[in-house]
Amino acid sequence: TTTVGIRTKEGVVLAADTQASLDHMVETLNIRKILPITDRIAITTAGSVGDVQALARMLEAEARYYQFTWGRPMTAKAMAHLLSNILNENKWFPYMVQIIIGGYVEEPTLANLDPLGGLIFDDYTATGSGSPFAIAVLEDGFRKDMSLEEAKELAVRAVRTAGKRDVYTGDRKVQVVVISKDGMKEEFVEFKE
Amino acid sequence: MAFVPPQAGYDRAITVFSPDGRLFQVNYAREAVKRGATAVGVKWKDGVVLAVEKRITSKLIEPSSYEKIFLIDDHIAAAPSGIIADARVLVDRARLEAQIYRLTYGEPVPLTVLVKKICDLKQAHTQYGGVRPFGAALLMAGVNEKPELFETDPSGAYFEWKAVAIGSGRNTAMAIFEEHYRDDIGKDDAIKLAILALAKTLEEPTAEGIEVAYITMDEKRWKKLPREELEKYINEILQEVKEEEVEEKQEDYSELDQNY
Repeated sequence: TTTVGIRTKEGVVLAADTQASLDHMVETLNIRKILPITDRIAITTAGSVGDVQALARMLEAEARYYQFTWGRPMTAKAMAHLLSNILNENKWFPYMVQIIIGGYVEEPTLANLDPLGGLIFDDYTATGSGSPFAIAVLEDGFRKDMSLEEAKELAVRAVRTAGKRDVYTGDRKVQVVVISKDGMKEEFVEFKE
Repeated sequence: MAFVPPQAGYDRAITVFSPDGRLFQVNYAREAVKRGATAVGVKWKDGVVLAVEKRITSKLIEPSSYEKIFLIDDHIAAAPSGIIADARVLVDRARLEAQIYRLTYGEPVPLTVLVKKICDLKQAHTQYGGVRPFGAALLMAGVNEKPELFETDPSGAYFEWKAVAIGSGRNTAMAIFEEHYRDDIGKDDAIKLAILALAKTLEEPTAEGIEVAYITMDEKRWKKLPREELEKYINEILQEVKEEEVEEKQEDYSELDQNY
């Protein structure tokens, strides 16, 4: 798996490959690794699929509960802290996940979470087995003043590059989710050769 | 002793029956509801509407802080009468149970499930020591496969209605429903009937003093009735009332309480 996230002034871009691996076998080449949690927040998933799905369900319920209790949407920052607490409470029997949270509720927000709840807010980040390759591409291409469209191209290039060199990352199809002040848009970028 | 009140002591602890089989604290809780602001609900084929009286006692109150139709989930809302502080606790629990159900089963909570959960809590507060009953009744309404409208009583009893009212205006509003409700009532007429019943319980019905929300099968999402539309309905009603000053039947619907 390779997933990346980039934060710009206009919004947040998340991108991930679409290959699910089972040991050394390709399980499928058509899986979604970026899951919407609210209409303004999404997470990318790397690690145990069952753990990530359980966490996603929890976050979705917490976000809805928050909305109905307090009458306003949960921010991506609040959700990142909540998830950090959940992960750290389970440090002796951890969820085997590496998660990127991206969202635009009050401001563009991007955060990386390790399995024990280590929380880092960042401008660009990558997770998964192909992350060393992807982060190198991001390191080279990221600029603070880039447009959302440029960020999208960079994110796809980072995942695609990792897919070429990491066996456990697919290089045929990249899922991209863009979250701006207008909401969330999903698309798939396919490569033929 | 010169003066010993009859059945003295049976209204002290709620878990103690009186000799004729009553739980006085529960009856007292019902009295709190009878003195509460009126809330009404009307169902039609494809939806349900709730309307509540807002007892704004001062112009200094911020109206936005005074919302009395509570959203439980996208598809469920509640209108309280009685001690609003108690109702808030029930609403908070309902919101929690709604999301717990979603998390567990991956689908919106059926209204019947939520009503039973809330009534289980209310019933527990008539049986266990160290607590008092909730001094609040809730109208709970929403859509799953069809529109539904429930009344929950402080004792933990619940009933499903086509049209219902709770609070101090219950008798007046129920008389209007008994007379005007039809099984084939449409959306506009249902909303108007709800506002009419509520308006009849008020001395001076105004758009500030009434809150209305409704949900339809198509949208499956609660909507506030906008101020302009509410004003339009109230003006229509006031106009019609002026035209045909019908004498009000002050029928006593307290025999309905025997259902509890």
